[in-house]
Amino acid sequence: MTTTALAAHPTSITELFALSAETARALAGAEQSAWNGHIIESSSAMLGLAHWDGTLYLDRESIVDPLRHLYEHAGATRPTPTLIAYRESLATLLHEHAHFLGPTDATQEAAREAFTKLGSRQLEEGVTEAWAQDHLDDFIHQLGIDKVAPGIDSVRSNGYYAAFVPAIRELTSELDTRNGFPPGETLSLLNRQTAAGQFPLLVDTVYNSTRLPDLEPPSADTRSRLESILRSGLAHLETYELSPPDLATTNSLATANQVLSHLDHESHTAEATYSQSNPCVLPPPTRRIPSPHESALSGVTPPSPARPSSPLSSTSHPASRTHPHPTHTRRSPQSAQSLERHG
Amino acid sequence: MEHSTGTPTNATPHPPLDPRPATPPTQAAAQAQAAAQARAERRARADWLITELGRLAAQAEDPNDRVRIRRTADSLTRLATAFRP
Repeated sequence: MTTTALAAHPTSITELFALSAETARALAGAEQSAWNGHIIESSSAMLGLAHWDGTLYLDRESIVDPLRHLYEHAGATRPTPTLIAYRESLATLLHEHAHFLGPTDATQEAAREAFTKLGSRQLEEGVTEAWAQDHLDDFIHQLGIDKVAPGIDSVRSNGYYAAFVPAIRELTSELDTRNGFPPGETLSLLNRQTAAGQFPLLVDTVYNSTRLPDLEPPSADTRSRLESILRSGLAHLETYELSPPDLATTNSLATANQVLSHLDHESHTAEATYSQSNPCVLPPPTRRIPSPHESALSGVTPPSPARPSSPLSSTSHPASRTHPHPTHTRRSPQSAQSLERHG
Repeated sequence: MEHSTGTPTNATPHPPLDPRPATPPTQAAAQAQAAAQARAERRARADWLITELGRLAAQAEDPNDRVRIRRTADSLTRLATAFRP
């Protein structure tokens, strides 16, 4: 019923905060959120923080005050800069809630430990921000904010983490294509994981996009080499973290393509190894049964030729010495004649 | 009755057999030390960057730059808190 849907929409910042975590979880299709229900208004260099104890920290001036203003002026027409400020605050709220998402068996302790590993921060931050950018309008509509702040879904704000997001988009969209997934699937799957599950999932997705699952034994260490390439490549992205957005975007994309190239090289090398060790299977040789004439003449000395034959080796022919591909020896007419005579 | 075969007896129980190739203790220790050092370096870098980003954000004249710097600080703060149990 329409009235039920409207009643579910928050009418204050307190209700917004109460409903935002579940809305983010449902949008992501994640099994759980680690948010503990506490929000602390902060005043420091950071804007938002999904703390490992489940507490959400939001900057009072830049995030909380605009959202408070949003509900204090519900339904009023607002200038574009104000709408953009609302939108950025909501984007931060959705981004931080996405950090808390994970499967039911995930723990924040395991996520915290995994986040300190090489490349994990870049992967999680890029996935979280890319997913939040893609689902911000859905988040706004689900919470009915487009009714409270008319026009909020027609303005656009800049995304952040330009050093990470383009690379993550490039990698995940390429993996979607290679695995036959619908667009955005790899990104969504990664977003449902904590840092503890993201790298194993990413490595699996890369591995399964190759022929290796059908070629090599499960004990092969190709996965660890793929993970090493991914970790070092993603860790490299922090080099561009403080670069202007355009430069960061260019370098982020270039890094992703280099990572994809290294992954291809590694998987192709492994595929070639296993392809060579498993040549095409031929039917087993069968013992030819000699004909009655052959059996009858067995043991009889063959007739000697009327004249000595030429050597069979083609290396004596000048043409073979100058041939650019010595392994592909061509029979000279003379040796061919000799072979035919002995054939 | 048991007879000695000349093999010296050893009262220390043997560790359970492990089919995996054993890593020499010195190599394992070196790997652990390198991992701990890399972790300490990442933690120190995160701490330093957070301080530096706070200074940069305070000095930034463009509001967009200020927000961008502060969002970067968010990520590094998350990393710094991950290093502190």
